Amino acid sequence: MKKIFFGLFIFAVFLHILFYVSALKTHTLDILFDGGIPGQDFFQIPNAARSFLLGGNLQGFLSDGLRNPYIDCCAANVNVYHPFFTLLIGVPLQYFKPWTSYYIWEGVHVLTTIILIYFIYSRFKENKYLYLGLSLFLLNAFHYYEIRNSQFHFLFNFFSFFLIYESVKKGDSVKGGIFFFLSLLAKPIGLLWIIPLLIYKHFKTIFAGLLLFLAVSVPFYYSDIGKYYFSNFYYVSTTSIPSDNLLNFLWFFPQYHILIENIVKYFMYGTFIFFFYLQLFKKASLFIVFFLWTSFQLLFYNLVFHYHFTILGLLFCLGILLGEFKIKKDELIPMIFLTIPSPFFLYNLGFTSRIGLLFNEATWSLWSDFWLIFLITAVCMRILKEKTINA
Amino acid sequence: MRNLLFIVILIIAVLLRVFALSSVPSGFFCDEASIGYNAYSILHTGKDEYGVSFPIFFQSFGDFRPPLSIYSTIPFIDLFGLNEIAVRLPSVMYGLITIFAIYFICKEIKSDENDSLGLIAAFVASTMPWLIHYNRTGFEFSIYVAFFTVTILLLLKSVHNISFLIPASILASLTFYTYQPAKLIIPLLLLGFVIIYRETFLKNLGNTIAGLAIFIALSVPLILSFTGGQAFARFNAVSVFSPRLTLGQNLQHIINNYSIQLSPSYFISGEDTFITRHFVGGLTPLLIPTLPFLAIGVIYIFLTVRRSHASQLLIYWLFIYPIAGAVTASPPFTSRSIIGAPLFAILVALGITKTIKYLPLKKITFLAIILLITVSTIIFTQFYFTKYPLYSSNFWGWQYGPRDIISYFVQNKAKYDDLIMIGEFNAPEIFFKFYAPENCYKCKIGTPDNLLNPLRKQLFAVTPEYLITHPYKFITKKIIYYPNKRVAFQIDEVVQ
Repeated sequence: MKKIFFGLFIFAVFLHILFYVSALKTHTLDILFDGGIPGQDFFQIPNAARSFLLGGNLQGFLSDGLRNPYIDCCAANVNVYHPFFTLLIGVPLQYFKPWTSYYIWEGVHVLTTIILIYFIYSRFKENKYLYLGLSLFLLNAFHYYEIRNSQFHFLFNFFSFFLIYESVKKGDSVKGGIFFFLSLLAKPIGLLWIIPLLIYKHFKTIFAGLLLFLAVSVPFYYSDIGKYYFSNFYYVSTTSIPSDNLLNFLWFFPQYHILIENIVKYFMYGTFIFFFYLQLFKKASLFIVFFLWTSFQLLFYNLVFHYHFTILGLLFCLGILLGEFKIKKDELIPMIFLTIPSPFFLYNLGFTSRIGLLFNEATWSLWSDFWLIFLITAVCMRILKEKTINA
Repeated sequence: MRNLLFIVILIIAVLLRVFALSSVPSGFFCDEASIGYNAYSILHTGKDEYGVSFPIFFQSFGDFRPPLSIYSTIPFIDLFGLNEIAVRLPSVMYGLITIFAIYFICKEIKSDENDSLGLIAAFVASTMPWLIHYNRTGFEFSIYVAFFTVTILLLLKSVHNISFLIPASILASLTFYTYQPAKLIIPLLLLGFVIIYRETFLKNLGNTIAGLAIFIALSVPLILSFTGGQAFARFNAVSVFSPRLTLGQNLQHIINNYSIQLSPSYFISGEDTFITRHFVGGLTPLLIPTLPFLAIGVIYIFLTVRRSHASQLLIYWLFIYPIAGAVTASPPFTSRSIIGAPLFAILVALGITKTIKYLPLKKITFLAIILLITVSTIIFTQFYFTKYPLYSSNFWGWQYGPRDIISYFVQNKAKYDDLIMIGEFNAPEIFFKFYAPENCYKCKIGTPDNLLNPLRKQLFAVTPEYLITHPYKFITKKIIYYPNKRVAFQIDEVVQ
């Protein structure tokens, strides 16, 4: 079995490399994925950093109102990242030519992947599912979106992985706090980790992470240049119900608009309560709690993009190696379907219009949300069953 | 590790002080030009701009300037030539000396957090806008605060080793020759110090008398200057005392000025002045996030005043720091009361060490505070280098323009009989001496109104405001812009 998994791992490494080659050069695999503009997400950070250095704001506007001082060739987004994160990453990057910095950032992405593989290998080399876990991480098709956009989400995954590992393994709370802080810095959705950490009494980790986060946020909060981040954060956190991800179903049933919205809303409330029930009364493991809240975000958060699902690759890998996911068909099958590309690519052949795009979005949501709900259900059923037997 | 951290702090301090030194602050004030030119003149002729050989007090713009800032600029002028950087670099050097002194003062203050206090205070000082800004200017403020701080350091050392009292006395008396407020502050410092550490000085009466004798001997030129009126010239020009006001009204004014310098709004909003060379328009003396730690530090020294001489000294320092500013008619106070800057660095550091002591996860708390100050410094740096020049380069700020005007004059002097610059600067003549010391015989201060001569080929540098109110016909040769892209000056020929 180990040999088969090793073979799978070799295949996964090659496919992962192919992701890079295709997304950055040949575009061979583009047909399997939804559309996107390379660099659209990436350039917001060096743009904002350049603007800051020239006396402009951290959204990428100079003081005379001109936008995108770093690159004005393509549809670069207005920066929404944390001001400190923007400067930390953007200032060194903006010293390079735009597309050079794009490739440098891809290099950083590759480097973090190598570090993760090395770390996992060194910690779990005796585990019989090592190569299966690594394969599920590398094969995760959502990486393609992340690579093509040269997104920053991989850093969130990277730091969240170490936070989860430190917390689950009851490691150093200082280290855990620093990883929590770094994950928060990369994406504010890291606040989600407070729930599992709180329930499992990792107070020091929370304190450390939040203290460091406050330290790099407070000066920007009272300074005008950082206001965008906090107002954006406030806007997103107060308008995230119901999820537009699940509401993509509406594309198929436009006549049941209100009904579906209500179903999604009550489904979310029900899930929220159920997850709390599992943690508080059924004592689901800390890793599973991390997984459940990640899934909650992927299902219900208002602005979930394809690349957000890359975190599942790491969670599947770590979960299998820690024995938190079982190698049984009701858990393995959804994991596999959440790893391979969704079948909406078939429609890429026929639809290039806005309708086609919406259809793709809806299919993608249907596909990924279905398998995620399937997996959550399987895991929760198992926990409930185990706890009942133990009781 | 501590040495490495201290080196890193010094590197940060140097970078914040030398980056774009000639262009920020944007412009070059007449006092800086005067210091630079007198240093140049002494270097090459042994005489000041008025022909006095090696003066102890330099005549300058209607008063007498203490000499040390000028003499200490000479090596820099010799090395780098007569330019803005050479005049501002001594201040950078004194800024670094101040940071060194702060670090070692903290080692002398026997705090229970002795290990980290010095490093934190040095870090706070290296990133403090109050010190960064003035350390980047060619004024006397930096040499004054450096001498003052080193004097305190040596005095503190003399408490444990009385042999330091002689160097402390020498430094204290030399501080008189750095900046005018020293004449008031140094006697107060010595008086307070001797009272606080009276046991030490009474125990070593011989050394104390020797130190006092040296102090008095070195102060003789200053004492003599009182009789000649030189020492009072500047004070008379800026003092709060007005013959039109009663003694009570004058005292009220002093108390008001004094209390302003201890009020939170002074540190949060800056000074109440229109002079943008100082702390206005968003520039604040301290990084705002350090203020809570300052408050904790102040509370701490008051709580420990009975059992700690160090706390007594810091409280006394806090008491005397605003006095020089208080007795002047109006702001700016940050320059005259600059001796508060090192004190506040120490108090902020004390506040930080106390905070760390009482919070869990000390390493993380320490890291968080360092990050807080670092991020605040980044924000300050962006403001200082990109936004501050936009509003501080005009007449009420750094009076940008003479360098470019005179440079153009010198390049084109062969074509004209007269090169005339409008007097839109404080003491404008000094800029001809500074920017073209032997090269601008045709340069004059004036306008077409008083110097236009149709028989001579003339070039005028005037402001756009002048052009609006004086409708001469001009051929514009060059336009000089402020950093905010507004026209500062036009260099024109008058068309007859």
